[in-house]
Amino acid sequence: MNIKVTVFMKKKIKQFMMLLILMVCITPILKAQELSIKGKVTDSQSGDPLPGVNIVVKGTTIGTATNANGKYTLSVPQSADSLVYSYIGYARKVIAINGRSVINMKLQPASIQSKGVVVTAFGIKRNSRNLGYSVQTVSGNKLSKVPSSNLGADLEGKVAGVQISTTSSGVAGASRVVIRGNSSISGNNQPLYVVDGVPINDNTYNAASQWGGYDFGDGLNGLNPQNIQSISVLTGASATALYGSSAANGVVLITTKKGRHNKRIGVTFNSNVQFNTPAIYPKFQNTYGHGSEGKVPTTLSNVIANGAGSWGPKMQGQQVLFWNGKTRAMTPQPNNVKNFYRTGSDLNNNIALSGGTKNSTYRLDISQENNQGITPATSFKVNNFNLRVTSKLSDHLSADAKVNYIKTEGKNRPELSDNPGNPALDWSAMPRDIVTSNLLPVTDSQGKARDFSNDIFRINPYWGLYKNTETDYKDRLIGYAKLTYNFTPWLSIFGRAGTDYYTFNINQLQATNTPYYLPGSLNKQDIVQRDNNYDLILTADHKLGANFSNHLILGLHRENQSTTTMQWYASNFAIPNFNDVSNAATKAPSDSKIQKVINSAFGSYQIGYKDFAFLEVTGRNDWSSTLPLKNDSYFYPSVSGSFIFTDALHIKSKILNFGKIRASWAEVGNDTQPYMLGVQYALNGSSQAGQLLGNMTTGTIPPTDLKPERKKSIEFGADLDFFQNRIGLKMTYYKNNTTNQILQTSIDPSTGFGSAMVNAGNIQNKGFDATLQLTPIIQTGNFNWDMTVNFNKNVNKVISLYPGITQYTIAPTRAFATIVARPGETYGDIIGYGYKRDPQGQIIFDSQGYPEASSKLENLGHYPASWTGGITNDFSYKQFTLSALISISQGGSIYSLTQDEMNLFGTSVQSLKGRAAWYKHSGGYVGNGVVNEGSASNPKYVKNTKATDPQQYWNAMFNRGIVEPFIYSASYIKLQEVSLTYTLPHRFISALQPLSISGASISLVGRNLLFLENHLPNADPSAYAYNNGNGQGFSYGALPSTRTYGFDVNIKF
Amino acid sequence: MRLLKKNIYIAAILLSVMVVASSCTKNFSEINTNPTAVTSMNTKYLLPNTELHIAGTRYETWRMDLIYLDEWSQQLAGTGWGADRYQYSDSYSSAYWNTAYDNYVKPLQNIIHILRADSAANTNKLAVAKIWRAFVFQRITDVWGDVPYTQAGKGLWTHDYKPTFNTQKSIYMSIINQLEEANKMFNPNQPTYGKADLMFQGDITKWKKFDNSLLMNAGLRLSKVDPTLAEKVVKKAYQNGVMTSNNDIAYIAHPGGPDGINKSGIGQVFQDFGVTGHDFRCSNTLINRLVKFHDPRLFIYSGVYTDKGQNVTPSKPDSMMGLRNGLTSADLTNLNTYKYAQPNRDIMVTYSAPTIFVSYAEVCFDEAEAAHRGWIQGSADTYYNNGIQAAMKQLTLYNSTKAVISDNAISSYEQDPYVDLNSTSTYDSNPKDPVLDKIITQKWLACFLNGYEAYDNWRRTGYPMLTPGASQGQTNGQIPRRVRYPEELQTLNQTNYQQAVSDLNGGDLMTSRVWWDVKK
Repeated sequence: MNIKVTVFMKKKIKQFMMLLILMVCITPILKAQELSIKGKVTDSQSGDPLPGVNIVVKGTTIGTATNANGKYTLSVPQSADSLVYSYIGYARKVIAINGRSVINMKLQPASIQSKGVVVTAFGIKRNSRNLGYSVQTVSGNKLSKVPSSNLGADLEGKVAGVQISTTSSGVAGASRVVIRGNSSISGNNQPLYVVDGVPINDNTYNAASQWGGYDFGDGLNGLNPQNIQSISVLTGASATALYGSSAANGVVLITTKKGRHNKRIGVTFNSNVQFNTPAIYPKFQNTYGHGSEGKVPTTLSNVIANGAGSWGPKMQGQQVLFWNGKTRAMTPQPNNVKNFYRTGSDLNNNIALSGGTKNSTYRLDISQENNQGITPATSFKVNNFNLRVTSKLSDHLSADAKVNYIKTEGKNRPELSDNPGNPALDWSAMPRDIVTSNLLPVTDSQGKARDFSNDIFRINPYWGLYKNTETDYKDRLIGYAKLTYNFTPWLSIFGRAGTDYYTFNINQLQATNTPYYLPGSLNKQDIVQRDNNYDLILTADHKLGANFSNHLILGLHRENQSTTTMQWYASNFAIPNFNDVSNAATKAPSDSKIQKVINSAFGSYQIGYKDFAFLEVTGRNDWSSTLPLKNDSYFYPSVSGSFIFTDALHIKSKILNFGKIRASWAEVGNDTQPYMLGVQYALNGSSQAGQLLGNMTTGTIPPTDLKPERKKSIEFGADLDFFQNRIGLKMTYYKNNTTNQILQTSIDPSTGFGSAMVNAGNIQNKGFDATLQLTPIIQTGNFNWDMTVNFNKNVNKVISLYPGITQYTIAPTRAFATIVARPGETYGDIIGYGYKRDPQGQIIFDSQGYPEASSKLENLGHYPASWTGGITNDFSYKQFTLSALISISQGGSIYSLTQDEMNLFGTSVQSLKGRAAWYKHSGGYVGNGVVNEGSASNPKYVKNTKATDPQQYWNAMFNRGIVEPFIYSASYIKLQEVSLTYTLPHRFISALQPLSISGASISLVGRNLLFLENHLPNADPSAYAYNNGNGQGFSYGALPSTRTYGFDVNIKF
Repeated sequence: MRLLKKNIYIAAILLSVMVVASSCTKNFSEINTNPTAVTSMNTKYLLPNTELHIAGTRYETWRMDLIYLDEWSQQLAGTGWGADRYQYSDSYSSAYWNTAYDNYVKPLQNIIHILRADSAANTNKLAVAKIWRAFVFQRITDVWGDVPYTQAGKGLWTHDYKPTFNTQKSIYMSIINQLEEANKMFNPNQPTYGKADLMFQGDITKWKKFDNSLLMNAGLRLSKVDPTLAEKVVKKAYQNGVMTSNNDIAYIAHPGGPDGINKSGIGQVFQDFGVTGHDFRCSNTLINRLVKFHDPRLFIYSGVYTDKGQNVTPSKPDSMMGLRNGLTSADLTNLNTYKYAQPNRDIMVTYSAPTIFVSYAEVCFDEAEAAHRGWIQGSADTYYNNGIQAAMKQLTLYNSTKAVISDNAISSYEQDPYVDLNSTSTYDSNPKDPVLDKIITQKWLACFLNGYEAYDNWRRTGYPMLTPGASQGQTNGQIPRRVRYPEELQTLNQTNYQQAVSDLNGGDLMTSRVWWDVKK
């Protein structure tokens, strides 16, 4: 498999080089006949001549500018087909030459804010100047240049108010996207994803927990970024009110490309090659080797018994006994972790065919991704086939349909978090003098694990990937059919049926002789997921007289979701390494079916006055099958308005050329999971002595009278353009409260249950979003610089929980800390034992010199960032475009259990302190603080001077469960994306006419290139987690995040 | 005009569709019903599952019984577990709290709740659930002290999410009361669980004996704190009729598979992870006594295994060594822990090892103690020797061929001066009560791998006399007297937790003592 890939890659590189040589060589020798064009450029509204307008032959650098009277003359090659007119503050215009020699041009004053239409609810296009709420749009080409395997991750730093993090799972993992703060205590905090008006399923299955597991990605893996026209992010509740319950956390609307009327078939070929190397992994010490208490044991069984940890003597080349029975020189192996990883590669090829006649269009996208992870044997492959067809069936009736088939295949995804198969976990314990290649083969002649230690929880790091293999296959169909009937140009109705249907097959193996489970086991799951959406929507867009515009939407919607799972857990293989259910002594089948239906009726009405004042009201009623019958219907409204004061007050200022203020108030209702209302019992599939075994499967006490959850939000904002649109600013202040939360609150397990479902709680998020678009220097003919800055500050507060419950557990970590919500504090607090301190705040050490733990659990930080931002710079010079994105996250904390363990095992740099002195009997680790020389009731604190054995010191720290020293700032600044693109000049394209190439570009791309700020000593602060759930803020056994570099070739035929 | 008509027409259609759509909620309760579960269940499926859970799954057995209680009672020593160095781990404490309440108390409470609806016909079944409940709560309260009892396991019905803690004293009073009550409820004319009762197959006589044996044990537990009451309870239990032979042993047999629930929880700890994974050795406290007493159980209880799992048990008893408790990593660095005895992997810790709740042998030792205290009739020596015989013979439950001890071996053991109750020789040096020392030491030996009982007896009587391990831990080197409450109670049930802590002399520490463990 690897060989094939390499050959393929080599071929790609070869092709790319050829193209590059061609471009460089042919360009200067191109010559063509020329013709002359002249004309005048004027303002379309005032008719005034415009001086200094840029005119360029499309696809070339040939150009000129208008003189003081707005006139110009330009010599163009005969092959030229159109001219591009651009002028600050005016819309760019492209016009075909069509053999003319005189072309007069009227340019339309433009505004950054009113530029373009935005896609809003149900795929309905709206003019953004009319909206009373904020919608942010990212164009498809901003996503496809430097793609990752997850579309959510590609949005990082590009949208204000959206916090994005990824997992540390190695390849094709899930992303976590949170818009304007966590607002649901126990529910999902991620937005709804809608593709071409139809919601898709974004479930994550079997996400890793504190005990281990995998990251199987989410619904965004496999979507083809090349096929995306644009993404609109609806951050405010008003924008989402029409999408209902599932949109309470915001909506990400994805619009895919469709074909265009064209006389011939348009072909676009895109090839993207990226290479991945580990970017950040732990800082290891390289001074002391295997052993304990500064010594290497003399017998092999003791070497192995003390094999986990690097508490041996200084590595000075002395001959010592190693775990594999060999005696060799003890020397540092600083790269033994790095050597385990390989250079990953990610190849994306996409070919798109599009075209159409006057009445119908088509677009066919075929893409393939082959992602080889940095962990050995890990891969992720995607085949994506997308066909979109539109057709005008009559003057009134038109049809639009899409079929998107996505096949993904994951192989040997790494085990995560506490599973000993997680290689990153094994590294934290592995001595610093082990040679990576000595760990292979993984098994001995009897098929047993070859291990450096007999600690079965820290094993040969190859075991998890080479023996405990994993495969998963997903066959997914996303599609819809839509029929639109236009009664009149302003009144139409459409009906649409959409689906996101997939089968997901997962096979997880624990091989025979797996040290932590010798009998071996197999876990097979077949998941069938159906998300069907039906809607019927009437839209009317009508002017009443000259001054009033009316926009009406009335709709019905039905959503039908179901997930069925068939699972086989099989263990105790009779024939070793024959990994089939038939071979297992124990077989436990189980199945489940989860289903949910929501019916909705909704409407929105907007009235506009003179195109500068707009008022919109919406209302929606949902009926959810998950709520008690008497409460299953819930209504929620929104009101929003916008006022373009520059137009209304006829402000004509050179400084402020566009100004709009907007305000909205909205409420969104929310339901819950299926089957939460009553007690359930099931037979558990086992029996003993012929007796079937059954139990109550309900672990959450059902609610007595459940009501829908409510989220209320207000937002105020302004959209302003300054200096003839050279500065565009969008600002929004928002506040939202989610009340009546449907909450699975943790309760004292002595009730017999771990949690109870209640309506309670109030979480508040308030904050400020801003997007600033800048053109810092005046455009000259060849150089262009655009800058976009976005910013969000969010203040979160848990106002209340269930009466009397002082804490809600969001997620337990594997050890010592818990991520919680506490009234009066921030959602996502990290709770654990701190140091015990004297009244002066000094750390108290016990008589043995070890730190004492605080008597109570303390709040040691919280995970959500206080502000995030992104800075994008786009420079273009002639044929070159350079884009760079810096993303920033400030505030928040991370608890690193990895660091605690690395100190325990003596593999971290921090574990070096005091060692040399202790082994020389001249000192040791002396904790900085005090010791109580008085009594408990009458303390007398004096400076601690007790020297301890560092190995015992960190052991005591670990065993006392003190979390405080392992809390790190989560702030970071990183250079997230860079791309340098060279677009082939038109002359060159003309020369390639026989190949019918109409455009081509190549790019060098890079991702996650550099951290300008990072405090976490052993992982990437933006990708430390093992799942994308609400419990973030702790890092344990994180796999290295990857640094990516590569190139992208795009050719249009 | 035509347009208007058309629009009205459309509006009418839309409106009617909306009405239809909104009324489409009729099948909602059907949609919201899980097709792979039922909403009620006959207790004949719930009881066997509950009994198997009370026998202990790998999770909580490992953490509470083995790691804490067996190491503290020095049956086992740890090569890695912090508990053996008197370090506290919240996850072990919460493992047992969560499991005991969720998998033992809740299902029992649920069975009681279901059965009460038709109590006359359910009298035998109800009695069984009550006895189990008493048994389970005695273990729970002995671990921590005051714990939720009256309100426990009832969250579904009471919606009280912060159960109050009952004092250990009141829990014991209630347990005694409940056991007496249950004993009277059995009625041979009413149906029993039959085979769904995996322990006694619905045998009322055995249940009554189990009930009385539990009562006697609960009574003895109060010997330090309230001897008068203890005597009264023990007498009553004895009169009502306790176990009389190994046929009466309260235990769950494990077929050893196919599923986890069919395996011994202890067996899973030792077998799932192989020889290198479990991190336990037999304590030298145990092995020394087995060797010095010439105990025929030595090679049944223990064996020596290499790190590859090879059985290298020496043939000479004198060559068997147990590991000292509380060794630090410095001590362990150059120590070959595979030289030390481990629980016998072919007999004691297999997947099919039985889980014994209360054995006839234990009952005999309880009788011996009661007779020694003068609370019941009969000779302590006779009860004591019955106990030794029963303890030796019960091992065939583990393995009917490899764990057979001959009558000769038993009688010669009974005559060993360290064993013989009439001999003045004692293994422990200068015990206050040499007879009680011998009785409890034999009970401790009979309860191998039942840390709950072994630890409770040591706390109550001080026997066998244990020397703490070398580590200081969080107890200044003292053997803990209880387990700390799970941390999450500090927030989930704050007020009640704080009340319980303030009732503890010394606070929520491992060195604080539970109510019946008064310092004497």
